[in-house]
Amino acid sequence: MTNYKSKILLVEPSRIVAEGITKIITESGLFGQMSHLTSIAHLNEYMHSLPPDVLIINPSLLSAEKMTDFFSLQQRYPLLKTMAFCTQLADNTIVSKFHASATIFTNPSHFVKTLHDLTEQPKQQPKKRTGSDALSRREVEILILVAKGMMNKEIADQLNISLNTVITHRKNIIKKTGIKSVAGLTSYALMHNYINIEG
Amino acid sequence: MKQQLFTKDMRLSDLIVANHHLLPTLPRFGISLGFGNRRVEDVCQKNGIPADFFILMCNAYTFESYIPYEDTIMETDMRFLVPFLTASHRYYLDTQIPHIERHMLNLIADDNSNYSLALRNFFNDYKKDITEHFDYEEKHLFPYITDMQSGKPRADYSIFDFVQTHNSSIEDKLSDLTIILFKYLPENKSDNDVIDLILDLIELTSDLSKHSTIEDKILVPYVEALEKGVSNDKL
Repeated sequence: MTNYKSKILLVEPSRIVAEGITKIITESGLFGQMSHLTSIAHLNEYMHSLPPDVLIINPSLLSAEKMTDFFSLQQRYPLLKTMAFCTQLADNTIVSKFHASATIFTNPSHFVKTLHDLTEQPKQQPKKRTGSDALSRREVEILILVAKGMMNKEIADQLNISLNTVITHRKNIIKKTGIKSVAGLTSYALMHNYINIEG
Repeated sequence: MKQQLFTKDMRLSDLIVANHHLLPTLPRFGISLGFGNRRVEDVCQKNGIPADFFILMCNAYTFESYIPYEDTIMETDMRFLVPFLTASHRYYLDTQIPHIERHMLNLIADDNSNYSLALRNFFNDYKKDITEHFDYEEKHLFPYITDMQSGKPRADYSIFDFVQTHNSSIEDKLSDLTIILFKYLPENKSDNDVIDLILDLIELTSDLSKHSTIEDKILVPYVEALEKGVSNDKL
């Protein structure tokens, strides 16, 4: 479709790790310019002069106070995709703030695929904080259609809402129920009497 | 942080004490209990298993962050890899999953509520998925490896085909099943029975996750190296 190749910026303190990642990314041939910083000291200047499409950053560089810098970066560049690259055990509450994550044990081909998916993804709605864990009426409506085996596109058409809205609802359903698979959601719908077993 | 890996001059009993998850893997190697104070090397020799292979599997099962060097993998006698993984499949499909199923069906026997119905459907669905996944490995990947090992390179398959089939949906379903049991169980069920069942599910989840770790960290690099060897020979 398009020949545009995403620019990638890697922020990783270890040179040996950074070289490995750079090699994997470059050799895949799927991405454009690849740059590397060893600390976040000059990140803002860099983002300003050469904004990348994907920022890969080691979350160990993000102490609690630096996290707010990171959030404001995400706000200033809403199209920027972020990926956490963990070289040690990382706090999941931090990693979950990224669009994607990988660790030092990730298989290189999975890593490239995750990165590639990230650049292909349509822009996401920012995460909404919902107070209650009960499903909203709209979410129940969508859960029922998911349980009936409908695809996101079909659900969007039937309810006259955008595909992105459906995806956001589905993410919230997963977050609230803790159930990820369609089969699991179908069971959930059944045991809460949202659907019946059709003969 | 230096981690002490297992070695073949340790006592097998010490390995089991250090990681009890190794216990259900012993029958897959054909090792029976009652090994007393014998060292790993002696137990392996008695059972006809290459000790370096046994130790490699034990280390991968035990140490989360252990990634063997390619040299270690290539120096290890891997003839038992496919039989070991196949025996693991048999254990999951013929022993552990039916055990969990019996337990679960027993729990919801004579109950026609939607909850029980949903649980039954969901479990059947999971069983179908995992059987298909193991079938694929046994029909395509394992014969390919055995052929490569016996010096019969094949052009019709590659480890990359296998890497691409990886998906997390089977693991997701098992975790969903656990959640459905402990979060959404109707309140009139006897708690201790359900907790036993959930513990079995967690044990199965952990075993299956080690199984896929071995595939990712050992099998894939091993077959990649075999493939590299074949293409180097051709040059």
